[in-house]
Amino acid sequence: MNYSVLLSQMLEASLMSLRIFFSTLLFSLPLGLLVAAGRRSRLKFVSLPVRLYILLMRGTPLMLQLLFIFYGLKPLTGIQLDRVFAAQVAFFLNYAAYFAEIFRGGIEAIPRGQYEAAKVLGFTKRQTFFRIVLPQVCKMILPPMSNEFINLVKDTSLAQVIGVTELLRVTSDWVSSAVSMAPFAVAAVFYLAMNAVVTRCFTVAEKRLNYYR
Amino acid sequence: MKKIASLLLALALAFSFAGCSASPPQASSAASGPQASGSAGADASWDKVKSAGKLVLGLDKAFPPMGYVDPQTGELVGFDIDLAREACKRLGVELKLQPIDWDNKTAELNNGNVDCLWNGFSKTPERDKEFALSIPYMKNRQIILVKSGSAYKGLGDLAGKTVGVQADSSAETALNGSPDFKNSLKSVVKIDDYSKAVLEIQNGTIDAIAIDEIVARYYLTKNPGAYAILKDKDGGDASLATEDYVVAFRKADGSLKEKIEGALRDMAKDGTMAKISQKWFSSDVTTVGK
Amino acid sequence: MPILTAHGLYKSFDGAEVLKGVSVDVEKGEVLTVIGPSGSGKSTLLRCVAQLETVDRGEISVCGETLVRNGGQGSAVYSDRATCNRIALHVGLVFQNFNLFPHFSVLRNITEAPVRVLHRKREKAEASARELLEKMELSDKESAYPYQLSGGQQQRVSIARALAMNPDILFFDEPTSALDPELTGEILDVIRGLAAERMTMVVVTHEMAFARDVADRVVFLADGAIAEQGTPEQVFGNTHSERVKSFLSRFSDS
Repeated sequence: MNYSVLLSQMLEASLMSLRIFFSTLLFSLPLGLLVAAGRRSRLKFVSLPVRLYILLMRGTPLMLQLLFIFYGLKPLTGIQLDRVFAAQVAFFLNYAAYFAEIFRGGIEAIPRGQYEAAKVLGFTKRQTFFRIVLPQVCKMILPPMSNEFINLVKDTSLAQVIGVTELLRVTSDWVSSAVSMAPFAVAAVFYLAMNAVVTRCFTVAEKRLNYYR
Repeated sequence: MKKIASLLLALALAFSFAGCSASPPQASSAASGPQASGSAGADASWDKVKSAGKLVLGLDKAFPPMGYVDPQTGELVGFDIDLAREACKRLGVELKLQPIDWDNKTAELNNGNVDCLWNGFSKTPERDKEFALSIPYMKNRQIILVKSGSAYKGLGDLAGKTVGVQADSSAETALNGSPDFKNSLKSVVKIDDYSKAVLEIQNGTIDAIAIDEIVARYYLTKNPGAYAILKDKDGGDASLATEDYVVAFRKADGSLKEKIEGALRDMAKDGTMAKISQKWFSSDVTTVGK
Repeated sequence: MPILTAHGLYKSFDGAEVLKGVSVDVEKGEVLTVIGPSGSGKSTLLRCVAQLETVDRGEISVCGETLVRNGGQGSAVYSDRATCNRIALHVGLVFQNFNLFPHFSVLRNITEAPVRVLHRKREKAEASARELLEKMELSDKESAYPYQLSGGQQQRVSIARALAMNPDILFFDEPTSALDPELTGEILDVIRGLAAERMTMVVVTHEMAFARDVADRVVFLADGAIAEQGTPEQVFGNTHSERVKSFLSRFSDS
């Protein structure tokens, strides 16, 4: 087995995995915030569909969602998404739901007194949310968020079911041809490396936000 | 701090969508779906491929020696790939290899993501209904691979044992088609791919695998002495079924199928096909025109 | 002209009536203390005027502007949002639990509202904040965070934060109830200091001695209605209400 070719192919495939990782975070974090707001809305025609969406995304396997978005749209609507884009869409929708619940938990954990103090001082609802509530929420949700980020790194391997050339599939194909398990060990190192970086980032973030308790 | 954040954000955005050239609702290069009609030559499937300039071939790239990753060069190689490349050359189109998840091959083909499935694809009655299958180009047998030195002789010896088979493969179909044999087994394990299955034979978690003959021979050459082909009482290889390898197209793509078949026949006639077969199997195992 | 007028306030929570027609006026420079048993509606009264709750019926006006009045069918009609927001700026509220913003330093806690709401320049706001901190004897704590301060210090920051908005009237909702007894003194001193400066204040408190000493007028609230109101001498020494008498008798130095 030619290890240098294996490594370079695995490196290239990791870039794909990372691409899915970043694009998911970029879009599902803001969407998650929006969905959290919708979930807490007092208007039934907003909160009910939102709750349904959250249930659907968290209640069905991500693999199923990937398959549906890539293979299921064409027969139903005639739309065929590009492989990688379909993966990005599926991940984006799925993770936004998880983030929404984490945000909601954080927001609801903020004591009512904070809102009342802000109101009495004359802050608008928007000022209260962005300057008083959200910064405190961010600190609070770092631990559950780190879980989701780490899960995301690993979940990118699911994109293989719709034929995306990501790290684990490339590894698997090499294993088939070379009839050796060694590439799996290499893949483990790759995933560990990515997650070590994620973990470190969160540790740094937690330290920086520890200026208050 | 804010400047760094917005710069990182812009980079992340660019990275996420680099090379996203086609607009998301992408027009596929061939017919849009299976249709019941499609008399020979009356459909536009060949014209579509011709104007696109390429034939998109769907394959499972973990299926040596038909289509797999060369462990030395890292390239996608295989007997079927060489055949397809030659056929495309003769037809004046480029060959584009599209690795897919084999479990979803039907959707990939019918949705138009690929134009054909050419990867040691066995002809079965069910598949004949589902797809338009080309003329056979090779024979294949579903044989049983066991650990070298094991005492099994013949299918009967596998009673009460665990047999593995690749999910949704024709080996699985063949197994299901031999109910007496199947019911005599302790259990049937569905596996992701054969490389894991042969490892299980080594570890002893599976006693035997039902597998395409040519794939079995590939593993035998890779790991001589580790495995053996189960023989039956006559000393010949025990076989669950004999099948033909064909190329699969969408049901309605008659004209495309005919063009490919034409190329295959030409290749058989002028000896190119035999040459390719020699390269991979040390003999001419093809059946076109014979 | 009274800074605050409230007439016939009614408020129910889940069917239980907490305010049953409370009326009270506060003149400029006056210090009002509100005392009474728990659950009598004291906090609710403050919260209604501070717009943290809405009244079911009644009239409130602050600095001559009407916050709420009785509508046709006898239910409360609030003014438009802009007026309500404007009125809110006249009123300051100091909470029992301080409610400081934990992620801001002491200085920022005080300056954030003047900067964001009143659109003052940050340097000016900080200068004013420092003056307030000096008054509260917390000048050395301006860069500290709330979690690093004692309860008494946090409450003083809370008072400074409310004062930074230059309210016309300042409410205190049991400002010492969450503090250790040793620390209540510092808060009461601050309030005394503000009273000396003729700051208009309404203080809900359990500290009877303080309620008597610092007040210009005392209001005794029980079961959602005013049982007695008047000068401290009248309420503490000369009341005819049995309710008030029995309540006050529980405090050894009445």
